[in-house]
Amino acid sequence: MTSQAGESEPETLFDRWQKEQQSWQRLVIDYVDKAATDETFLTNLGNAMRGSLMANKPYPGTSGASGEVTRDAERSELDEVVFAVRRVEGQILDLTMAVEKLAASLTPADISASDEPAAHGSAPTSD
Amino acid sequence: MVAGALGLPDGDAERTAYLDDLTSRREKLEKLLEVLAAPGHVGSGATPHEVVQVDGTARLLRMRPDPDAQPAGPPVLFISAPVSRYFVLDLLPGRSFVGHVASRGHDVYLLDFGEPDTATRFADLDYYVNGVVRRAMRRITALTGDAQPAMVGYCLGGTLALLYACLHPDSVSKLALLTTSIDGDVKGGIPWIAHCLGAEGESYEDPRLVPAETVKSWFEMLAPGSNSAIGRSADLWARLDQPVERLRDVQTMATWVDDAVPASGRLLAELFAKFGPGRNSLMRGTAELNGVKVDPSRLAMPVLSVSAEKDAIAPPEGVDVIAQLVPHVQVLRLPGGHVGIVAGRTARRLWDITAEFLRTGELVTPE
Repeated sequence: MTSQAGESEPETLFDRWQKEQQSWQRLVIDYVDKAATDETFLTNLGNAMRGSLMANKPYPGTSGASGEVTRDAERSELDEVVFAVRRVEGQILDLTMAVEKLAASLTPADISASDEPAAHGSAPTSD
Repeated sequence: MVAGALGLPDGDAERTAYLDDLTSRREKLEKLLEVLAAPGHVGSGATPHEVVQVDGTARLLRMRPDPDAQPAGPPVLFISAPVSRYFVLDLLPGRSFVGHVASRGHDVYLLDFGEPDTATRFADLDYYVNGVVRRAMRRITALTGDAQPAMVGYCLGGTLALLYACLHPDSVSKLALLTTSIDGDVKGGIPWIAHCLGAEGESYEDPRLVPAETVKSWFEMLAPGSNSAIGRSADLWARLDQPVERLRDVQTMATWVDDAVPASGRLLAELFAKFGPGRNSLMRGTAELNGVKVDPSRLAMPVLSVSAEKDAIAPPEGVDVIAQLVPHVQVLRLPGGHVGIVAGRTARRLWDITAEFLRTGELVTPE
C-alpha cells in the first residue's frame, strides 16, 4: 500500500537517530570553526573556563594591564610627580570653574564698569 | 540489530529516552555556542552619552538617551566603586540603571573613574571625595544651574557619596546609598575578607597599584570555588536550559566581574585604616577626612539606604545600621545580591524606587 500525497510517514527511531547524528556533526564543525576563526568566541571561552591558554585575555576596549608595578625608586618618584601634576590639574579645573561662575554672574554693566578704569589707566597719552 | 550495533539501549522506550537526552544535550551546546560567540558586554556603556569633564583618569558622562533632545529635569550624579568598571550601572540596552532613571525625567550624570595607571596608586580619599567627586558636582551645577544635584552611590561609590555629603551638605539635595557598608566590624563582607587576606598591609606612604587579580581574589573568596573552572562549568551547564537572552545576561554579568581594574593602594590603606574591621570610625563617631570631622548625624537632606538580602560583599546588617547614625534615613532591604539588585533581571524594582526617591525624596515601594 502506498501512502497518499501530503501524508507523511511517522519518523522511525532510526530516522531520528540519523538526524541527530547529522546535527551533532554540524555542531562539532561549528565549534571547530569558531575555535579556529572567532576571536570573541575564544576570548569568552578562555575567560569563562580559566586555566585555558586564552584565560585572562583582556576584553576588547580594555588595556588588560594587571596593575603589577615595578617599585623601583626612580619609577616611584616619577609616579609621585605625575600624580602631583594631576592634583594641580584638578585645582586648575576648580579655578577655571570658579572663574566661569564669576563671569556668568557678571552683567554687561559690571563688565563695562570694570573696563573703564582700566581703559583710562592704559590709554596712551600725548604727553 | 542496527540499533544494537550503534550502541543504542534495548527497547523502544529506552531508545527514545536515550535520543531525547542526546537531543537535549545537543541543544544545550548549541545555545552555549551562540552565547560564547556573542560579545560579552558593552564596554563603553549602553546609553548614549557625552563626556562633559575629564579629570585625570576620570570622566564625567552626561546621559543622552535621546541624542537629539537636550537633557532636562533635576540633575543626579551616579557614582560606582572606583575598584570596578562604572558600566555596571549602564550594562546593556534595556538593562541600564542610569538609562532607566534618565527615561524617568532626570538629567543623569555618571562618574567613570577610568582605569587607574601607576600614578593613581597615590590617590587617597581626599583626592576622590574633595577632588574628583566635588569637581563633578561643580560641573553639573555649572551645566544645569542647579546648586544641589542629587547623588546616588553604589557600593564603595556610596561611601564616597556619603563622605562628600557630610563634608559639603549644602550642595546635595538628596542622597541614595546602594549596598554601602557602614559598619566595618560586620564579618563576612568584602572589607572583612580583604582584611583577613592582608589588605591591611597596604602601605599608605609607599603605595602600590594593587593588581586587579588581587582585588578580584578578595571578591572570589566570598564564594570560594564559584569562580573556579569547575564551579563555572557546572553553573553554566545547569543554566543552559534557560533562554539564550537570559544566558547572555549571565555572561554579561560574568564578563563584568572578570573585567576588574587595579586599585590605588593608598586609597585601600586609608579605607582600612579608617573604616575597616577594628577601626570602624563611622560607627564610633570618630570619622574624619583631612582633619575635618565626618558626621552623618548632621545630614539634613533626604537619605535613602538600600541593602540586598543575599549580599556577600556588603552584608545587609552592615548597611542597615546607617539608621543608628542618620535618624531620618529611609532604609530598605531588597531580595537579591550585591550586583543583582542594580543590574540583574529584577533590578527594575530598585530603579523605580530610586527614580521615585529622586523625584520626591520619599521611599515608595511598588507592590
